[in-house]
Amino acid sequence: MLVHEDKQAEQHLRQQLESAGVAIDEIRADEPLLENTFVARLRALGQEVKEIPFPARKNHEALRGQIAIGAAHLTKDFGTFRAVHDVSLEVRYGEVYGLLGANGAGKTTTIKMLCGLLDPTQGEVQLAGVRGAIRTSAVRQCIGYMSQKFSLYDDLPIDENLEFFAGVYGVPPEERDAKIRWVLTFAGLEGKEHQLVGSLPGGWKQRVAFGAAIIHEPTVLFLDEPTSGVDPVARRTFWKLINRLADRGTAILVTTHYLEEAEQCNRLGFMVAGELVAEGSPSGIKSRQPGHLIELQVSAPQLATDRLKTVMDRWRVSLFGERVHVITAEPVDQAIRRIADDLAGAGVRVLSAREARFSLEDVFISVVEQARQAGKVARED
Amino acid sequence: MFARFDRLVSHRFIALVRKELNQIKRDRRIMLSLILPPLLQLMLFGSVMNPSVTNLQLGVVDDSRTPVSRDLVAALGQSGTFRLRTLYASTGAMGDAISKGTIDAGVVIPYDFARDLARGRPVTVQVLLNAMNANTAAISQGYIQGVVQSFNQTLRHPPVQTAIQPMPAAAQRGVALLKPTLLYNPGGVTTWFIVTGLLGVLLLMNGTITASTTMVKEREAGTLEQLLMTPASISEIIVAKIAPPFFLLGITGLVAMAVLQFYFHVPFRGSVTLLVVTSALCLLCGIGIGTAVATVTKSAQQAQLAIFFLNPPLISLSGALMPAEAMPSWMRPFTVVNPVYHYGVIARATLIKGSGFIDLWPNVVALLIFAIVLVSVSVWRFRRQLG
Amino acid sequence: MRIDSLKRVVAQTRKELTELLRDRLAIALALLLPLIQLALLGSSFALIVRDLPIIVQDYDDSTASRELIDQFRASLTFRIVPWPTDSKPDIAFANGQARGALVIPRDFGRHIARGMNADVQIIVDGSDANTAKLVSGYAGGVVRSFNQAHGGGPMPTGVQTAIRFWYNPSLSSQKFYAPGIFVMALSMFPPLLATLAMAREGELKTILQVYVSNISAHEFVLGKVLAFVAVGLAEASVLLVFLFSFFGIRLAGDPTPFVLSTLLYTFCVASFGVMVGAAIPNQGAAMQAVMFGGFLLVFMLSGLMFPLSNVPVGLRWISILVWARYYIEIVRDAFLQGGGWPAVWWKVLAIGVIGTGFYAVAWRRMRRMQLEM
Repeated sequence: MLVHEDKQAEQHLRQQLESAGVAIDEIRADEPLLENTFVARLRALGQEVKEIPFPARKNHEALRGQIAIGAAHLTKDFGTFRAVHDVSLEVRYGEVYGLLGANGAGKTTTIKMLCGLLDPTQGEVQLAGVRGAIRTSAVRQCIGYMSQKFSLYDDLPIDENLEFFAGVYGVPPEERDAKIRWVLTFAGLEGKEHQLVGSLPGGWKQRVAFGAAIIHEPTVLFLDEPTSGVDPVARRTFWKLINRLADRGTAILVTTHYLEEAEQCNRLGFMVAGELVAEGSPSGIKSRQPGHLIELQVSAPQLATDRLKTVMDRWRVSLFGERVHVITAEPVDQAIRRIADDLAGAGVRVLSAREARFSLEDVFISVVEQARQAGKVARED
Repeated sequence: MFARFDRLVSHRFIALVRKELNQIKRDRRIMLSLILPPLLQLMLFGSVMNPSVTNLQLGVVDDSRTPVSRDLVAALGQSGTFRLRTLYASTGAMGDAISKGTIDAGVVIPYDFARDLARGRPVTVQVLLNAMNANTAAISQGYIQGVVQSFNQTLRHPPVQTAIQPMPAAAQRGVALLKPTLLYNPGGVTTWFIVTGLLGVLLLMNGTITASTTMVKEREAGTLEQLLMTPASISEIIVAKIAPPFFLLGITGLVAMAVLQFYFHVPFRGSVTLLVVTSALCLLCGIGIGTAVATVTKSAQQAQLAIFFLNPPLISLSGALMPAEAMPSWMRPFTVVNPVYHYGVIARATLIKGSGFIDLWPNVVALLIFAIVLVSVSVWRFRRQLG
Repeated sequence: MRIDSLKRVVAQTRKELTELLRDRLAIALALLLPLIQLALLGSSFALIVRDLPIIVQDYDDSTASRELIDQFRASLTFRIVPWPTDSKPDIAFANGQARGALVIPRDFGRHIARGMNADVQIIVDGSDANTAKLVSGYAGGVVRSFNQAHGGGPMPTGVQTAIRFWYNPSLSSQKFYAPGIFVMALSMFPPLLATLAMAREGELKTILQVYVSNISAHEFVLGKVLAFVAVGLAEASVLLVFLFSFFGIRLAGDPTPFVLSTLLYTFCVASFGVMVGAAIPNQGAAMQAVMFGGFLLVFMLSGLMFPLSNVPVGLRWISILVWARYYIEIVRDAFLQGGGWPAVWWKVLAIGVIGTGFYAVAWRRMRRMQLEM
C-alpha cells in the first residue's frame, strides 16, 4: 500500500482489517519500490484493466482437495542429455502451484510432460484423475494450456481466434458470445475484435491468449510464463483472476520469473538443472533458509558488490537495485562490522545496514548457487 | 452423455474447418493461386503453347517461270502451312534469307521444269528447310510431299479447263494413294492436346502448393502445440486441414473444365463423372505430395522452393505438353509412376475420344493407387511428427 | 578515387560469394538443380514420336498388300500391333492400344497390277493433332517408298522433291531443345539466388548497415550483380560441359558472339534478380516475382518450347521485352546455324540494353540509401 503517512495509515489499516475479521500477521513500513510508484501512477491515469467477473457456469468446488496433477519420478532424456531427473510433485484442486527455475532448468519440459505433450522417459503422470494414458480427448477437455509463445493465430482476427477455441473446446453456443465478450473486456480490446492478432503488441496478445485458455472453464490450468512482457498493472489483474479461479476449485500450475508473483502461490517448486531442489509454501521455503540476510545501503553499490565477492563466497553477495544483500552464517552484528571494515578499506561507505527477511529472490539465488557449487550446474563465468 | 459427446465432435471438427477456411481466405498467396492462375494459366498456356505448324514463311527461286511452275508454287501456299513471302533471284540470296531467319523454307524450281514434265521426264525440285525445330521440319516435309503428290495427280489427269499439258500416258503405273483421316479431331486443332494435359498439371500443382502451405504454416507459427492440447484428435486435425483445400481446388477444377469447354471448345464426349472422379484423385495426389513436402521442409518459403523444383520433372515426364511417345525410350517407363501422366491419358481419352471406364481402367487404378499411397504415407509422416 | 571505389565493389562481391558458398542449399540451386533440369528436360522435350503402335486391317491379303505392310514394319516410327480384322479400329483407339489404323481395301493388289491407282486409308488418332500430322506425313513417305519399289513400270515420272534439312540434318529434337533448356536454367537460377540475397537484406534490415556505411549505391549494386554474374558463369560452364558431352552438341561457326552474349546475359539476369529483390524486400514475394519473370515469361514467350509465331498476335509484342528470346536465338545460332556476328549482332545489343535497364532500376531503388518510410 502506498501511503503518505505511515503511522497513521498503519492504525487505520488495523482498524479496517479487524472489523472485517481478517487476522493480521505483520504490518511493516518500507521504502517504496519503483514498481509501487509505477503502478500507482498508472492507476491514477486510469490505465487500470477492467475487472468484470468471469461468466463461469461451472463450479469445481466439489473437487477441492483431490489431486489434479501428479508426477511420480518423472525423467526425460533427449538422447544422452537428461533434461529432467526424478521429479515428483502434486497439485491439488483449488491450489496455485508455482514452478520456478532458471532458463534451461527443465520447467518447460516438465510442464510438457505433465500436460501430455511429451512422453516421459521414466515415471508416471496423473492428470485430472487419469493415470498414465492422459492423452485422451476427455482429459484434454478439462485442461487449459497457455504456452510461452501464446499460440494464437496471428493471421486471424481476435474474434475468429476466440470463436475457434470456443468451438473446438465445445463451449455451448449460447455461452460463447458472453465469454468472448468477457475476454475482449478483460484484454481491454472491446470494439477491436476484428483486428488481426498478429498486429497486437505482446502484452495484449497475452491477455487474449489467457482468455482463450480459460474460455472452456477447465479444471486444470497450465500457464507457462503467462505474464512475461505484461505491464505491472495488467499483471496484477492476471493474478487476481488466477486467484479467483483457484478459489473456485481450479488447479493451476504456473511458471514464472517474477518472484513477487511467486509469493502469491500456495506452493512453490524450485528447479535447477532438471531437478526439483526445493518445495513448499513461500513462507516455508523462506523460513527454511539457513543463515541471516543483511541488507546494506552503500555509497557505491556495484563497487561494493564486486569487492565483497572477492572476500566471501560469490553466491552470498547480490545486488538488488541499489541495495546490497549479503547472506551470512555469522551473527548479524559481527557480520555487519566485518563488512563495514572491509568496504571502508575499498573506499566505500556503508550508509545503513540491517537484518532483512529473506525474499524469494534471495532464496532462489542461494539455491541455484549452492547447486552450482555441488557441481550440478555449469559455472556462470 | 452420448448426445453431448456427439455434439462436441461435430462442433470440434466444424470449428477446425472454419479456422482453416478463415486462414486460407486471408492468405493471399493461396487465394491468388486458387482463382487467378488456373484461368489465366489455362487460357494463356493453351493459346501460347502451340506446336502447330502454320504460317511458315516460304521463299521461292523460280528459274522456270512458266504457268506450271507457278501452279506448283500456288499449290504450296494454298493451305495455311506456308505463306509465300518472296521470290528470290538466286539460290544464294535465298540461302542468306534462311540463315537470317527471314524465311523458314525455300523452294528451288529448275530452269527445265516445264519442259521435262511435258516430255515425261522426272524433274527434281529442291526444298531447303530450316530444320532446327525438328517437328516443324518433319511436318513441313510431310506436307510438301503431300502437295507434290496431289500436284502430280493433277498433271496426270488434269481438270478440263487448263492450259497445262497432261503427262504422256505411257509408263503409267499404279500407285498406292494414301488417304489420311483424322479421327475425333478432323480440324486438327492442336490446342486440345495441350489444354487437356494442362488440366492435370493444374490440379496437381495447385494441390501441392496449397497443401504444403497450409501444413507448414501451422508448424511455422508454433500454434501446433496449442492445437494438440485441444480435445481434437490428430485425425480430425489432419482431415480438417486437407478438406478445405480439396473442396476449394475442386471448384477450381470445375472452372477449368468450363474454360476447356467454352473457351477452347474441347469436346466432352465421354463420361463427365469419370472425369470428375479422376480429377478428385489427381487432386488428392497433389495434396499427398504437398503434405509430404511439408513434413520435410521447415518454412513455407522452403516448401515453395521445393515444389518449384519438383514441378518441372513432374510436368515434363508426364506427356502433358509433349507426347510421352516422343520421349527417349529410357525415359518412357518413368511416366508410369507419374500421376499426371495417367490423368492426362484419362482426360484426353474421355473428352476427345469418348472412351469409358472399360478402356481406361488401368490408368484409373494407377491413379487410385497413387492417391492412396501418397496421402497415406504423407499423413502417416505428419502424424508421427505431431505425436 | 577510382581504385577505392573498385576495392569496395570487389569487397562487396567477395562478401556475397562467401555467404553463398556457405549455404549448401544455394550451391545446390546454383549448380546441381540446373544440371538435373537440363538432363531431364533436355532429354524429354520432343514432339517427334517413335514406335507408335498401329493396327493393320488387310482386307486384300495379296502380295502387294503384304509388301506394303512390310514397308510399314520396317519404319522406326511405327510398330505394328495385332488386331483382328473383324473388329472396328475405333475400339483400339479408345483404350490407346493403337494410335493409327492402316486399312487396305480388297482389290488393292489387283488394281496396282493393272496400272490403276489404289486407295489406302490411314486413320489417325486426332486427339494429339500434331502427332497425327506427323504420322500422316511419315505414312505418306512409307507409301512413297512402296510405290517406288513395287509399283509397275520402270521409271517414276512427275515432280520429285529433294528435301534438304539445314542446320539439323539428323532432325534431332535434343539439339534444338537442350540449348533452350540451357537458357531457361540461366534465366531462372541465378536471378532466384540474387533476388533472395537482396530481399533478405531488406527483410532482415541488414540493409540498414549498408545505408550507414560508406559504400555508394552504385558500388553496392555492382558488387552484388557481379557476384551473381560469377554464379551464372559458373552455372553456364557446368551446363555447357554437359551439353557438349551428354547431348553431343557442337559449336557451329564463330563462338565469339556466344561468349560475349553469355557474359551480357548473366549480367542481365543478375541485374534482374537484384532489381526485384531491391524493389520487394520480402523473400517470399520476391521469389514469386522472379519465378514469374524468370520462369513463366521465359517458358512461354521466348520461343524456347514452341515457335514465337504461334503466340497470338496480341501477346507477341511482349516477347520483344523478354530478354531470353534474344539469347535463345543467339544460342541456337551458335550451336546450329553458325551465322555469326552478321546474323546476331543486334540481338547481343538488345540483351545489353535490357540488362542495363534492369541495372538502372536497381540502382535507382538503392540510390537514396535510406529507408522508405
